[in-house]
This record gives sequence, C-alpha cells and structure tokens, in this order.
Amino acid sequence: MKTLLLVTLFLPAAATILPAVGRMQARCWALLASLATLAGAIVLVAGFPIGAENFAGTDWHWFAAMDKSLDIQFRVGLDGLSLWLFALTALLLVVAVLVSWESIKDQESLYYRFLLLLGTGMLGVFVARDIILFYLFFEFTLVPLFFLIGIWGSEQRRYAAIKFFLFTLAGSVLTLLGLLTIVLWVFNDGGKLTFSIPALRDYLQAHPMPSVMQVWLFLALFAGFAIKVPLFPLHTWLPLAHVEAPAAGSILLAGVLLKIGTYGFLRFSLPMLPNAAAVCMPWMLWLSVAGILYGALVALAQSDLKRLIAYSSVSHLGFCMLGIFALNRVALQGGALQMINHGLSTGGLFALVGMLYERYHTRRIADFGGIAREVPALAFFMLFMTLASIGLPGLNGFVGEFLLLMGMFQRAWGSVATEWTAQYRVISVLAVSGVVLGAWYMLSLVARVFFGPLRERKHTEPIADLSLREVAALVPLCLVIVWIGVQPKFFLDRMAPSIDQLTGQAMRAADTKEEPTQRRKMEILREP
Amino acid sequence: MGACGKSAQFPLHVWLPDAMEGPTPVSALIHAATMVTAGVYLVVRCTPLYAASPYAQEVVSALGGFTALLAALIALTQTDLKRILAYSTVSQLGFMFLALGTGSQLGVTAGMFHLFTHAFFKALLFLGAGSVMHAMGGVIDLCQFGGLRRKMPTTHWTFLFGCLALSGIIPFAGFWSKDAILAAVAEKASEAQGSIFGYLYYVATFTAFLTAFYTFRAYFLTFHGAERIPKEAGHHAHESPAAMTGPLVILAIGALAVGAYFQWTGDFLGRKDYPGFLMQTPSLTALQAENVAEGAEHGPSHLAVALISTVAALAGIGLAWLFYIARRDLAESVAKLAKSLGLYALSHGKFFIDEIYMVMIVRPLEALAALLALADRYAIDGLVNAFGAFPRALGAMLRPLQGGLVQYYALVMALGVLALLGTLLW
Repeated sequence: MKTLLLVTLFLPAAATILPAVGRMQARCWALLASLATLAGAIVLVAGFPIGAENFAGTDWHWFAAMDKSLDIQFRVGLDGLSLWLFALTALLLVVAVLVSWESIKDQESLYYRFLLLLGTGMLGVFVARDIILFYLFFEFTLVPLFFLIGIWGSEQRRYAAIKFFLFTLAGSVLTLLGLLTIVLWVFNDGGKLTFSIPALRDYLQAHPMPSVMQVWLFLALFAGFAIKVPLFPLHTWLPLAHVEAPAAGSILLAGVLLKIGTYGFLRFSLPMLPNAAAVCMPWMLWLSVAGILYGALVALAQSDLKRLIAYSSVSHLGFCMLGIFALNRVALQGGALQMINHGLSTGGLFALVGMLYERYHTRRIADFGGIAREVPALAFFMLFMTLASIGLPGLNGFVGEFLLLMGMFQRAWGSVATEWTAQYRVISVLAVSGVVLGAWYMLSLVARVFFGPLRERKHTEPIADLSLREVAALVPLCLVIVWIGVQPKFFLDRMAPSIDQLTGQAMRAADTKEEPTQRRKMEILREP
Repeated sequence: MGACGKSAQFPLHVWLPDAMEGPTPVSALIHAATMVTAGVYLVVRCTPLYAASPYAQEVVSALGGFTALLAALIALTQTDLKRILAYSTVSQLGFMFLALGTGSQLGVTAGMFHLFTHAFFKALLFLGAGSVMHAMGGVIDLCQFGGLRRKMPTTHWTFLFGCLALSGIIPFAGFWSKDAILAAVAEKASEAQGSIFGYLYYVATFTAFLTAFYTFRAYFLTFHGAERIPKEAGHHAHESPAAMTGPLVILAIGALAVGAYFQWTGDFLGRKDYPGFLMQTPSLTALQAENVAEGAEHGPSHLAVALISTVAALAGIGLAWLFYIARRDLAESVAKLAKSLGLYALSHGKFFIDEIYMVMIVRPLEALAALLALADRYAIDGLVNAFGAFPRALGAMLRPLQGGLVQYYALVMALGVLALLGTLLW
C-alpha cells in the first residue's frame, strides 16, 4: 500500500518524461497515465481502514539527512479527510484528459505534460504531512495552471493567468510565513524543531498558543487559504481565471484547486489554532454567507455561461465555508462532503460547457436557445449536473447542504445563547435563501440555453450530440453523484473520524467560548 | 409554507395556472391528484403538531378558505378551459386545508376524503379538457368553440359527471366529501363561537355556490349553444379515440360511485369505513379520543348542512344556466356592470398577484444582481487591480534613477561621496 500511494502520486509526473510526441500519442499516454492513477486511487479507497490516520504513509528524511534535528521529511499519507479529495482529483484528471481530447489543437504534448504535472501537484497537496512538502505542492500547482491558462486559454488569457498567479501567490506567501511561525513557535516552546503536521498539531493541541498569537497566525493563514477558496471579497480572480482557462483547466481549477483552500483551513487553521477559529467564527460566517448570496446574485446577472458557473462556485464554496466555520460536528461533515460534491457537479458543469463551446464556439448565453433539440444527451447531463448542484434530494448536493445547514441551525438555535446568537440566526436564514437563489439562476440558465425556441445560427453545420468519449467522461461523475446522494454513509464514515480529530478542539473552543461576552473577547485579544 | 407551495395555496399559488402549459395528461396526474396533494398530506401527517396550536389551526383554515374564495373569483372570468380547472384545483385544495384546520376527527378525515374524491373528478375533468383540446386542434379557449355535445358525446357525458361531482350534487362523489368539509367547519364554528370558523363557514358555502357556477359556465359554453369549431381543428373535430375516452368513462364511474360507496356502508355521513380506516393511523388516533368523549351530534345537524350546500350548488348551476343558455343578454349586462366597476378586470387579471410578485420581488432582485455584478467588476476587482498597479507606480517613480545618462550617475556618485565625507567628518 505504501508504494501504491507513492506510485499513484508520482505516476502523472513520471508520464511527462517522454520524448516530444505527436498528438495521438500524447493524448493516449495522458489517458493511460490518468486512468492508472485513478485505478491506484480506487484501490487505496477500497483498502482504506476507517479511522486511519496515516494510511499507506511514507516517511523519508530528505533535507539534512545527516542532521536529523531539522525534521523536514518527505512525509505522505492518507487520512479520512484527504482520502476523498485524493480520489476526486484522480477522477477529475481523467475527465480533464477526455474533455481536452479534441479541443486542444496545438502543442498537445506540452499541454498534456502540464496537465499531468498539475495532477501530481494536486494529489501531493492532499497527502502531504509535512509543512514544507505541503507548501511545495501547494505552490507547485500554480505553475502548470499558469501555463495552461496562459497558452491555451481564451482572448484575455495572459492577463487572467498573471492575475491568478500573482493574487494566489501573494496570499500563499503570507501563509508560508504563518506556517513557519507556527513551526518556530513550537520549537521555541517545546524545544523540538519539526515540520511534521501531525506532530505540530498534537503539540499545539496539548499546549495551545496564547489566543492573541493564534488570531494573528489565523489571519496569516487566512490570507492564502481564503484567496484560494475563494472567500468573498477575495474572489475576483476566479471568474477571470475560469472564463479564460481551457475546459480542462476550468474543471481542475473548480473541481480541485478551490478545495485546497478549504482543505487548508481544515488541516491547519482549525486543528492548530482552535481558539482563533472560535474567536473569528462570526466574521468567517458572515463572509461565508456574504459569499453565498453575493455569488448567487452576481451569477444571476451574468451573460457569459462560464462566468455564471464561476460565480456559482463562489456561492457553493461559501456554503462549504459556512459548514466548516459553524464549528459543529454535523456542519463540518456537511462542509467536507460538500467539497467533494461541488468538485463533482461543477467539474461536470465545466466539462459540459467545454463540450458546448466545441460545438457552438460561443459562451454567450444569448447565442444559445432551444438546443436541447440538437443535443439532447448533452441537455440531459447538463440538467443532471444542475440538479446535483442545486441540491435536489437523491443527489449529492442535498446531503451536503442539508448537513451543513442543519449544523448551522444547531449553532444558531441549539446551543447556548450568546450575544452572537441573533446574528447566527440571521446567517442561517440567509444561507437557506441562498439555496433558493441557487436554484433560480441555474434553472433559468438551463431554460435559456436548452429550452425555448431554437435560435437561428449563422453557420448551419450539423451539430453532433455527445460522442462516446464525452459520455465516458461524464458517466462516472454521474454515478458517484448518485452514490453519494443515496448512500452518503459510505463517504461520511471514512471522513468523520479524521474530521473529529482535527476539529474537536476547535469545536470545544467554540462551544465554551460562546459564554464570554464581546468585552471579554476583546480582552483576550489585547492580552500581551 | 412548504405545504402552501406544494398545494398551491395563497400566496404561493401562482405556479399552478402557469403549469397548464404542460401536456394535459400531466396536469391530470400531478395537478389534480398526486403532486399537489403532497401539501395536504404533509399537514395531515403533522396533525399532532398542529393540534398543539389552535392559532396555527386557525391560520391553516383561514388560508385555505381565503384561497378557495380567491381562486373561485378568478375562475369566474377565465376563458381558457384548463385555467378554469387549474383555479378550481387551487380552490378545492383550499377546501381541504380549510377542513384540516378544524383539527377535529371529522375535519381531518373530511379533508383527506375530499382529496381522494377530488382526484377522481378533477383528473376526469382535465382528461376531458384534453380530449376537447385534441379534437379542437390544440385550441382550448372557450370563446373559440362551443356546442360540442353532439360531436363528442362520450366526452360530453363524462365531463358532465365530473362537473356534477365538482359542484357537489348528490349522489356524486364530490357531494359526500364537500359536505363533510362543510359539516366539520360548521361543527367547529358552533364549538368555538365567535372565532374565525363562523365566517369561514359562510365563505365556504359561498365558494361552493361559485364553484358550481363557474364549473357549469365552462360546461355550458363548451358543450351547449351553437356549434362552433375553430379552423385549427380541421378534420380532428370528432369524438376522441377509445384510448382517450376509455379512461374518461372509468373515472366517470369513479366520480359517481366512489363517494356513495364509502358512505353507504356506514351511517349517513357516518364515521365508518374511510374515516375509520384513516383513524387507524397512529398520529390521528388522538382525534378519535376527543370525539368519542363529546358525543356524536352537536351543532347544526348534518342534514341541515347537506341541504344548504345542495341549495347553494343548485343555485350556482341554475344561475349558470340562466346566464349562458337562457338569457345570454343578462350575462352581457352583468359583465358590463362588473367591467365598469373594475371587478371584471380584477378577476380576469388574477388579482394581478403575478404582476405584484414581478414588481416587488423579481425585478428588484434582478436589479440588485446587475448592480452587484457591476460592483464586482469595477469596485472589488478595481481594488485588486489597484494593488497590482501599486508596484508598477512605485517602479515608475524610481525608474528615472536608472536613466542611462552617465553624467547623472557621475553626479549622484559625487554627491554620495560628499555625503559620506560629511558624515565621517561630523
């Protein structure tokens, strides 16, 4: 199992080491590599023991092999939280390769190499258990995506690529600063210089930092992770990046890279800085619900198909963040599951948009109309993904949304009343109305694009419906969506122990810190 | 609220008439019998919950009664046959909610019983309308056809059965269930003197009168009078094939017999069989206990209620006959009077509720969305771009230092040496 994880992790990167090949071979190699990666991921999922913390892990000393006091190791392993994200990444990589099959027409081998490198980068983020390694993979994902957007994107691709790269980098530099400060604080306090994430977490849960320090570090980590999520108001890179990226880039961006932000919160901010999480909870919740409503409303006003779905991502990740920062067991599970759900349904939506673009060469909604007559299979999948996205019961979105809203309601109505409770109640109600708005813009999108009168087009070449390859890209997503919808237990069982372990202290801090008044909290913050 | 949305009660009733754009069999299934009853079912399932709050029960009944009246008033002036049936569905669902809100055993079972019989005759009416629409080549506007009773006999007779059932004429199914509802409301009104149920009884009876009126208005205008076929019908204008008329006949038998069957196996308006069957549900057994304690009959006798409702229904039918068969000119003058008072426009325009929603909810949200989209693009993103512009501006300020002009470098060097000497000497 250990070697399987390593092999699965590096297989995509290894597949890039090929001589420059022609289009057909590049595609096939990429497909083979991604399918093999997916197979490895499936085996790992099947073999995952519930409650495992370091499944299939590896620990190598690589920096300062002589001087073991600098504890930077190549440390990878799966736990409940990373498991499903790992599998999601592998699946979306296959989908990305299949979607790019026909649409990429120049420098294909370079394109597929970047795609595979991106795959390894993303897989690595989720399994890294060492701070330096995590940061390495975290930044490593930016490079291939920068090139993917910059070379194979749409008209404003260079601007979008540079903006995306710099914006995200700026935030993550602050995050690095925060992470290093954590390491150094633990060294100062405990005497052992370690970069190992589990070790740091255990130490900090036993000897927490002073709250003031925690809040500062929380803000530093927030800078990087919140930009990646993206949390309102740091989201403006997202619509641009999505619109200008090629289809596969959008799929991976929306499907996986956005989750790296929320994963960062769950892996670092909540376990290592629990008091700060509890103190910052109201602000985080307000930002989340602002993101939900703002994303939904702005999506309503869009005339570009991809931009609309990009803003819907902002809205959905707002739901995830709401679930995470409700700091309630049910809500956290809902938020974590919603990460997977969003990856699947929005990944599917972007794949479909890519297929639409291949056929109609436009992303403007006004150019479409009534095309369900021409491409019924595509219309079916689009409606399916839409329903999954808006949370139709029976599909995955409902499970995640229901859990996280229930957790939020528990926080607002079920726990001890504090001065924040009225605000939490308002937040809960606003979040639920976000669900209605989500249904509004998505269904009206589908109605405008697929139904209604067939719009006359200038070129009247026959439009082909979905090919076997495209159906093969979408069907696995649909199957998993339905699976999660009808048997979420399978997924939640594996996630729950890890999430409890990571966030237990933050939850307790939130529940007990509920008592102190606002004045006391300001005193805590002012403590030297 | 959820039940209101599902069962098309005010204020969430606007979707049902618009859904008539769909195929008629779909309407017959979901809008008559199955989907819209989900709301009623929800309320019945939660009977213990509602029983805990008399105020909530009053709200449910008041909402039901109000919706029933509202929909009946709108149906008076509609010319689209399916829309009339849609509003009639909203109205009948209102009756069901009215019954459920009384919270008594009679009320709850009456509501469920009406749901059951309504499914039969409403589906029948919808399918009949579909048959007419098929024959008329897709036209469903009452103004464009008429006098079809000779051309489409089976459809005519089954439709008539449905209308009689909907109006609540004995022995059709609708009589038993609608009568049970009115009896329940009357009982509650006499129990709780001075509460809203007193008014609701009169509202319900008046709505029953209106129901009979608009139903038979539709019937007379469609099947009686001079025969008119719209040109879209072409050669379609004949009785529909057996595949369509077969179900009509089956449902017509149901509309005739179902109510009577369930009632005659017990007392007159007794509580055996269907209600007894319902009473076995755990959440409803509490109702049984309280009724047994109070005794069987009180309030206005059930016979009186039955008589009043029958009179109301016959009056409605009679008025419809008067206006649309005997003296069309009377109808014209009443309509003219109503138009001058603005009442006609109010009814025909569905009380403009759709338009109010559009103006109060939809357009403001769309405007807000557009505003936020602009803010996102220019304000928030502008802020981000400003951050990006800052290094560039700083660089632009500092760039002249690297002018490339050698004399400038020499000058700076000289000045630097002077400054160094100065600090060293002082």
